[in-house]
Amino acid sequence: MSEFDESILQAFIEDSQEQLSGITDDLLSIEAAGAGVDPELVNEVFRAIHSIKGGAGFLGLDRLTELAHGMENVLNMVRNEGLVLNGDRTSVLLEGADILIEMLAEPGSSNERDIGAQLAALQRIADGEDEEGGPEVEGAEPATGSEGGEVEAEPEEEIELATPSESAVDVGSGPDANGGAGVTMNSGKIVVLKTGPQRAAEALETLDYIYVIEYRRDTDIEGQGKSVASVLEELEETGIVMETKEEEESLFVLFATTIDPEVIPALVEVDEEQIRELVSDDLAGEGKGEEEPAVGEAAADAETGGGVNGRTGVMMNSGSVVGLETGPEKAIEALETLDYIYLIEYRTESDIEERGKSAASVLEELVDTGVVLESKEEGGSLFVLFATTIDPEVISALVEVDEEQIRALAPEDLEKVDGIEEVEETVDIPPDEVVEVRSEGGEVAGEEIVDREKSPEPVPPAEEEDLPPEALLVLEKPPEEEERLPGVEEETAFAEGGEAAPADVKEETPEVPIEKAEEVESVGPTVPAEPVKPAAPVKLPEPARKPVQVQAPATESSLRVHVGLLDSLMNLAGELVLTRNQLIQEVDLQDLQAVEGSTQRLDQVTTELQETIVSTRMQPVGNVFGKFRRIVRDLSRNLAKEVELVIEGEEVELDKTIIEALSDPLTHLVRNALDHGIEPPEVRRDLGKPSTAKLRLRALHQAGQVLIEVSDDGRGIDPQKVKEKVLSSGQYDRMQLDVMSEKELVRLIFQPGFSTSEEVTDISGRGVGMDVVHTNLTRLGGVVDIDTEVGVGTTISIKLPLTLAIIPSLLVAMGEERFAIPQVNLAELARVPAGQTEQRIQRIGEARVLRLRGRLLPLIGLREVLGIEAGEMSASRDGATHIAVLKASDFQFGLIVDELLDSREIVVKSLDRYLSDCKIYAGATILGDGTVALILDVMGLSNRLELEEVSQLEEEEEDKTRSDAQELLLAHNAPEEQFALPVKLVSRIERIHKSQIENTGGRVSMQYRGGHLVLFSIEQAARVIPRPETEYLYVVVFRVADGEVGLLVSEIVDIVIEAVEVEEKGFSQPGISGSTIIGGETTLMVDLYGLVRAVDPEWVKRQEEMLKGEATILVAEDTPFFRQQFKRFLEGAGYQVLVAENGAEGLRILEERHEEIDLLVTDIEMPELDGLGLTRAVRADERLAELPVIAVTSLSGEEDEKKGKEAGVDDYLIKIDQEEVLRSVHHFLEEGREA
Amino acid sequence: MAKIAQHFDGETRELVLFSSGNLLCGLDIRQVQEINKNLEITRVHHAPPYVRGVLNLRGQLLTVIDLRKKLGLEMVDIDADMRIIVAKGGERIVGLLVDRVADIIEASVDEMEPPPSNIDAVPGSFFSAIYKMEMGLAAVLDLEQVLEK
Repeated sequence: MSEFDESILQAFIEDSQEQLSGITDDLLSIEAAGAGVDPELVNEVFRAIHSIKGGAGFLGLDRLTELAHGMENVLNMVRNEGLVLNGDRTSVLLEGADILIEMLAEPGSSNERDIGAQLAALQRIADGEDEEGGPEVEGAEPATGSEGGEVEAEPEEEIELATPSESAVDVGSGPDANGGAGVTMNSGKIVVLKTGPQRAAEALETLDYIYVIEYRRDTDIEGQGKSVASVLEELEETGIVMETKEEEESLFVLFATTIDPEVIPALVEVDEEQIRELVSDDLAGEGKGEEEPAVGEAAADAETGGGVNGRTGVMMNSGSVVGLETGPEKAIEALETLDYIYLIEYRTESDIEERGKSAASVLEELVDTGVVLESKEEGGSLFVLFATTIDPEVISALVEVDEEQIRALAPEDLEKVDGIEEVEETVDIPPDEVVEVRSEGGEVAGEEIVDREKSPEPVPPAEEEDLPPEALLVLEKPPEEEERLPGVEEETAFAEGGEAAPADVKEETPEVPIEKAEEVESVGPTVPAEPVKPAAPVKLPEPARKPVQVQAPATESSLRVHVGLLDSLMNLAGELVLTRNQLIQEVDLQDLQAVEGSTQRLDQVTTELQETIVSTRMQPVGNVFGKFRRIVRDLSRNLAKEVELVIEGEEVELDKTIIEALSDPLTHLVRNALDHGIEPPEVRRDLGKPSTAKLRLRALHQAGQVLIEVSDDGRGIDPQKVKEKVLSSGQYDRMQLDVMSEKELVRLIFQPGFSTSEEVTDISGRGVGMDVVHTNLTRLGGVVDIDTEVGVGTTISIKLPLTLAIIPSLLVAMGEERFAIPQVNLAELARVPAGQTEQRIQRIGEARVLRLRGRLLPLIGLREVLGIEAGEMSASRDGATHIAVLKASDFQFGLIVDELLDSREIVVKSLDRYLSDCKIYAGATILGDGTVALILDVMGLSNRLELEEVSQLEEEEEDKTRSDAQELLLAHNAPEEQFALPVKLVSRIERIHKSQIENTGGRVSMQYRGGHLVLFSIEQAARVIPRPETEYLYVVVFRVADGEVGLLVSEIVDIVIEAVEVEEKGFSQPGISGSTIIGGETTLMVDLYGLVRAVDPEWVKRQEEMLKGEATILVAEDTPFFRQQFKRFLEGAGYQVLVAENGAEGLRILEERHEEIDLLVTDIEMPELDGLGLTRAVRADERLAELPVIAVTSLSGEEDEKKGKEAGVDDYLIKIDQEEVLRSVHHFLEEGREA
Repeated sequence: MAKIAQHFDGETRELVLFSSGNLLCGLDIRQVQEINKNLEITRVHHAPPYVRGVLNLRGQLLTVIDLRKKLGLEMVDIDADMRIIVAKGGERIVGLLVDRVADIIEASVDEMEPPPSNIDAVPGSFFSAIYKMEMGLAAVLDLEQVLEK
């Protein structure tokens, strides 16, 4: 194909795609309008299809032309004859539009496409048979009429005359493959021409008409005393002879001229019958309705020859061929009870394995809805011959494979069984080669035939099918020969002017019978009952296999950009050049001030340039939303649900890449909503909802991101059902599930292998999908959230970045090397100081984990991942370990790096093919200093972790984290001694200079927030090493009773979360409650209250006066440390305190002394009887009905709090927050229980 | 690149001469976009061993192939004399890290001979020809082979 043609083709495709993009919506509107349709709308669609037809014809895209023609016919009827587009008709047109789009995407192979079913359906509508079923077949005959050599001239001829363009003989795989378009003369004869449509079109640019003129040798040439040469000479005088073809009886001339059809017979002196006017499309083998299916089958037959082992070879739409054992009888039998037979191709990788299925499960699924006649695994695919009642429109959705991979079959497709055996041995051409030949564009017909003439003819499938019987030269041949080789011989005869050596061809060409198209038979009574099939020869000798290919133009690679945008880009580029020139000049002049100005301007211009360029990639999200009108319509029809689709925010723009990648996940979500979410109309009515459900697709900007929501008002997702389901699947145990919030439970639907639907349905719910949706969206940098309420509906929201090209990211360093981590994958940053590495980073087997707020986080070292140095974790300068906590999908892990640098926006550049195997990189970026930093792929990194091992760990650790972990502030008084203080009690930490400390009246204090803060030191009360004199020191501010005091320490070490085992013996002294080991160091636990009380009892007393109470409080607490703590500070506050070691003991004490106890403080986690049990017991006892109960716990969550309240707890507090406990105690003693 | 078989008498080629290890190599100048001194190569861990890393070539990411490694020679640390030959292999451009660039010469195709099966332990398949000069032999690189993954 010349470059010129290439660019025309490209332009055509782009135009057509644009036109088609609106058609779906328009068709839906036409359908919705019914009889009252706006004629202008129909016109619009008609015109679009019409122009596609014209362009396709011009370019030799025959199938496109045919299909467009069929659609145009129907639309014309809508326009002119008031045909109403009902649902079925619209479906046919929609499907047609889909196929047009698909064919446009791959114009090079569009001519191979089997569109027989669509053409037949269109024809049925055009004939008015789609409803009445009246079998009047127009235009269907030629396909089969000729096959048996039967002459059935009349009907066809009429039609051919009526619609000449349609009667052009289009052959099998397209005229080109045969060496040209077949043209039917008015007399019914057929001549095959080499001239392609664009040559014709060129000729028509200067001349007005193209004719094919048949000169009969006897009457028109010899009878008139002329010779072939003189005839041509004569013609040359008035036009251009484009092609001549001499046959035994006649000379055919393709003649371009300005002479009017009315006078041409007189001029050339032949009978009117022998002249036919052509349009360029005819030479492309344009348009015939029904014959096409035959073409498809013929191709299929050809493929059969291609080394397929079954009895019958069937070609899939994708071009692959499968041999089947099932014969037509079996198919017919199946069709007695079922409606359709499909051949479905499951690609083992993409359709089976990636969805977590197996061949067996696929078949099992199919059996639910039909009968599997045969299955076969071949070449990476599973082929299934499947009989069912399911409509062709929905079968693809049901079986979850691409439409391309499904082919509807008629029994006849399975029929060409006999006569094939021979073929199997002799022919061994892989199917794709056949496809290749068939894919040649119409334009190349000329060259092609030359090529072929050099070698025994590779005869492409079955031209004869389309020939009206009278015209077949082959009819004159002896019947046996015809039966053996009809296709080959005719083909050769036509292509080579009758000079081909049939013997050669015979040897080369095995017989493959061709059956007629099922569609033809189904509509056409004129079709002979027993098809005697002409051959579809297959053998393709080498030379024929280097066809001029129509390259599928890379349509994706072009983008429509608004001219305004281009203009501003041009402006900016100009600005940039200008600024550069200024800069050069200023640098030359050493004018620093001016340089500064220019730099600023440069910054401005580049920023603007960047933004503008990015915006060229932006597309409205409506591009992807739009297609859901159609999907929702089709699916709701299929599911018999009433759904109104509401689309909002179509104008919101996203990066092209994201828009494209969004399509599949959204489709899945919409399908899910329709299938599982939305109830059938009856059910909705029963529930009092409007019978028409609302499905909403919404896009909006939110905080620099785009939010996309798919919401329905259906049944919602029941967390309890999810729970049961997950439980039964064994992925989680009950313990794990019990602690999950409802939201967390619902989120489990994103787990692999999860399905909410109770039964598998046609559309979705096969246990695949949501996890894939989630993974895909996460990969795009999206965050998926789900919001649902049972009976009310479900909203799934997706937060997406505007663009993928520039992303915010965190830079980290490993030695000299720097890496970028996309911000979307970043959960938080953690730093583990040198002293705590052992404590907080633990090794369990091979795995390392970080203890982070009671959670265990699996860790990997970037060093190890990169293989920089095997061995220990790296340390930064200060000896601390730096960890970036990353999220991959739903799972988090920590990445140990040398250093965490700053975060910045980076431009993502993709890596070369040499590096495509490195899964741990998502690309690279160029940093400000010009060096390159690699971008880490968090998903890729996470794959390096042994997840199973870690999840086990988490279980082990669970008990520990439930125990009394608390947050502790680690500090030094003297460097040799480490102290710990409960963080909960600390209000603030201040760093002060020693000069700020005042010594007044025997008291140490400092000015603080407009008053005086009394300061204490640990050594004032306890026997510890005194704090050395330092320039700066820290004040830990905390509350005691109702006032604030400060504790002086020399250094703050860290804050850790520890479940400490406090050793009281030997260390207990005023101000120190005990000791423990933290970070490998003996650490003294500071008792702040005790300390203050010991140093300044007067002050404490004064403060406590304000909170004074004389009540008796029972404390039930199993941990001795906390028990002591409570006792100490509650007594300190002036209360009487009774203690119990567990709930059972507490209950006993309550029963015995209920009269004196005014309030109960209870721990939740206790042996024998836990806090909730105790509370319930209290509430069950009338005598204790008014007893306020304060629950204190180390763990707290909404869920727990709820449970506590249900049991009858009045307040729920964190036990270490003594101040709060004290306030609460005070409150309840004053006010009593709330009603 | 046209093999040496297809040429007419007296035809000359411009060759960039450079060394890689002990080997003196040549590369048709039509396949060379530029010769770059920027040696700030960012290492890519897990990349194939012959990929030295990536480089910022005026905003474009350039993969740098260590020619020594690719030819099966010993890899050495980067020194200041090294150069990166930015070569055009088909659609893509790739950087070839070479020890030093020696010269650019006009080479007569007549003086080119098919390469032997190996040259200094480097397989001959990496070369399209051997060019004989006064100063010695230069092995003309077959860029396609070198860029094979």
